[in-house]
Amino acid sequence: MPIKVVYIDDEELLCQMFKEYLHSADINITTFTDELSAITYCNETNPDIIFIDYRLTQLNGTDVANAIVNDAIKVLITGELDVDMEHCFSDKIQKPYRLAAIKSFIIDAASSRCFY
Amino acid sequence: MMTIDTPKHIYEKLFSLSMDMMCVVNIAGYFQLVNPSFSEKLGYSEAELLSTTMIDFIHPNDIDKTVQVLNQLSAGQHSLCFDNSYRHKNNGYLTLAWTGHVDADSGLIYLIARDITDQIKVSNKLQHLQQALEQETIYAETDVNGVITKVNDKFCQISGYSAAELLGHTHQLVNSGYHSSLFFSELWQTISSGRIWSGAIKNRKKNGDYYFVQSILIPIFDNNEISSYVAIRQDITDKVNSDYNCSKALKILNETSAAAKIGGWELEISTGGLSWTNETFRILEVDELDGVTPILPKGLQLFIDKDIPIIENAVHRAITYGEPYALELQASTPKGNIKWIYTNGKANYVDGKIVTLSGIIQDIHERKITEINYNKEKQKNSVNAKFAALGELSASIAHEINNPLGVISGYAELLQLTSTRASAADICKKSDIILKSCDRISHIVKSLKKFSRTDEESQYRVCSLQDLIKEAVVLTKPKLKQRMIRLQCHFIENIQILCNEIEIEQVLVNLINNAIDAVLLLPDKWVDITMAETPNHYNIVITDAGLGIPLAKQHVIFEPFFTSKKASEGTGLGLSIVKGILDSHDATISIDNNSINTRFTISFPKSV
Repeated sequence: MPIKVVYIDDEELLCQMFKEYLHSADINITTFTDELSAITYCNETNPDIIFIDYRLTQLNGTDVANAIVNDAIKVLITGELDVDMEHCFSDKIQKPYRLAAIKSFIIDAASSRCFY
Repeated sequence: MMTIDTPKHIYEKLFSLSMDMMCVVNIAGYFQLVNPSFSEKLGYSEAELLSTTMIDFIHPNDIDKTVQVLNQLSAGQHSLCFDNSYRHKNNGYLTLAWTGHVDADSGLIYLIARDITDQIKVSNKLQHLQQALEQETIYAETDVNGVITKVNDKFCQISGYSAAELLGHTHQLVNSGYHSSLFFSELWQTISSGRIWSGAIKNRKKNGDYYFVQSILIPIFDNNEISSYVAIRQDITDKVNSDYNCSKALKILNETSAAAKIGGWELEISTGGLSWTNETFRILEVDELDGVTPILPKGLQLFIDKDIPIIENAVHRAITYGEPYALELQASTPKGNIKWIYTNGKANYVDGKIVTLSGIIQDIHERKITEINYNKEKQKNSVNAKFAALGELSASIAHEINNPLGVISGYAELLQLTSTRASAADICKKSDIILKSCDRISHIVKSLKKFSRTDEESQYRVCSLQDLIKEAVVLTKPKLKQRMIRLQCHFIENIQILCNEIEIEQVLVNLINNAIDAVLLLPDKWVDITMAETPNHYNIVITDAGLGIPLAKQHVIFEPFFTSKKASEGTGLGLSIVKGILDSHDATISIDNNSINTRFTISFPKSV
């Protein structure tokens, strides 16, 4: 069963690239540029890992993470220099990130949480 | 051989040579005989005298008195002694003192008269003087021991003692205790040696109050011995008090001048002489030499070389054209100190002609040094503020750069990943995305570049107002977006102003940043930037969702270091710098209190 990963970012290009690079038989990528739809989706589908960009259109990443009530691994993605990671996140990844590193992160996280 | 006169000759000689006037009058009142002195003194000839009754020569006021005396003689009184006024031939009157005897047998009256006109005049004069002194001055007489023997009402009035209380006492009764014993011993030494003493004395009234008198103490001689003293005094209490008040006021004035470090000066133009108050001497650190007046050229040399021509020119123009002046200059004192002073001067006219200049000189050294330091600090802080703003911008712009960087990095990774199987079109598409992201970054960097310039000289050029606003928006948009604040812009195209674009952008960024901070906690967050045009101005109106600035704060928000933000959030220099920049562009910034929301209006004059 593939790892269910959600990527939330208002930057369409980043969403596209994220999906194109990471989507595979083992990793199921769903992306959202609209955070409200993302919250609904995540609360309904219980993904394994959710990457949330901090600066979104209507809410910030922390608000989105708090609105998603499941035990998914929530990772804060930010291009800001001065955003603190709240405890609702397990990790923080600074933009610009390497997709290869994200891939490794997903695989490692999955293995440690025994998603397989 | 010398002949000896017979008694008859002697009497005749006495009669004819006597300085006294002698006559014999018969019962009818006619002169029987007059001696030459009689004619001489009265100006009549002997014949004139003998043909007229004696009464005819007497002053009408004295006729009764004279007739009365003569009647007494007729009634058997042996001798008489009286005086009356006798008409001189030229219609004046002489006062004559008469002595006379009547010869009972013949009824003839033998009279001797002496002219006492001058004595009477002197006596009258003395009497008037005495009267005047007693009436108009505080008058007292003492015996040789100083015991009061006579006082007038004025003495009683001023001292509060009755005459009875004063008489028989010395002036010790009114001694105030103010003067030393030496003072009184010198006074006594003077008058007891026969000289007049004069001076001011402080005395005490019966009720304990003090009074001041200007006194003249005169020794009165009798047979070359001092028989008494006369004291004539004038009440000078009011004058002393007013002198005291004057000197007190002057003292207060001097003290307050010293406290305020303000001195006064006056220039007498005809002589070049300067009159300085004590404080002026102190401020300029010039020694005050008795009787030595500073003169203008010397006064002008008391400034540093650079300032001498300035003060010379100002004084010259004040003297020549009556132009007032007010200058802040540096004085170079004789003690070698350089100090900042404020001095002003104005012309004073007499009959339309400038005769003097006068003004003040104030020590403003401390204030000026503080001001200079403050300005240096302000300049430094304005540079710091620029860097702080830059830092804040960098932080918010990081996101804007990191996002496209993420895209670049990600698509490069994708290209690598698909390098063997990607189609040319796919490669083109991805590299195009990369290039567009590069453009996004370079646009932001270009905007920042302006802020990083360190132009010392201000560069004015014609700029599009719309472009300036757009640039400022580029720089603040990340922050707006991060704080989820809506921004609306309403532009008018083709409006150009002459300005230093970096400075005006700085102004706009500053105002937008302030607006962002102001609306941060509001439920509805928005900022609106609108361009407007009036007949004489181009306006930029920045409105935010806030509900205005309290009137009480409006006058301080443009002051340096005023801030409503926390210490870590703002330097308080923003709006003061904004105002400074706009001032240098002849532009203004104002708060529009007619708007419900917070609204700043920047106005650029069209002529500029």
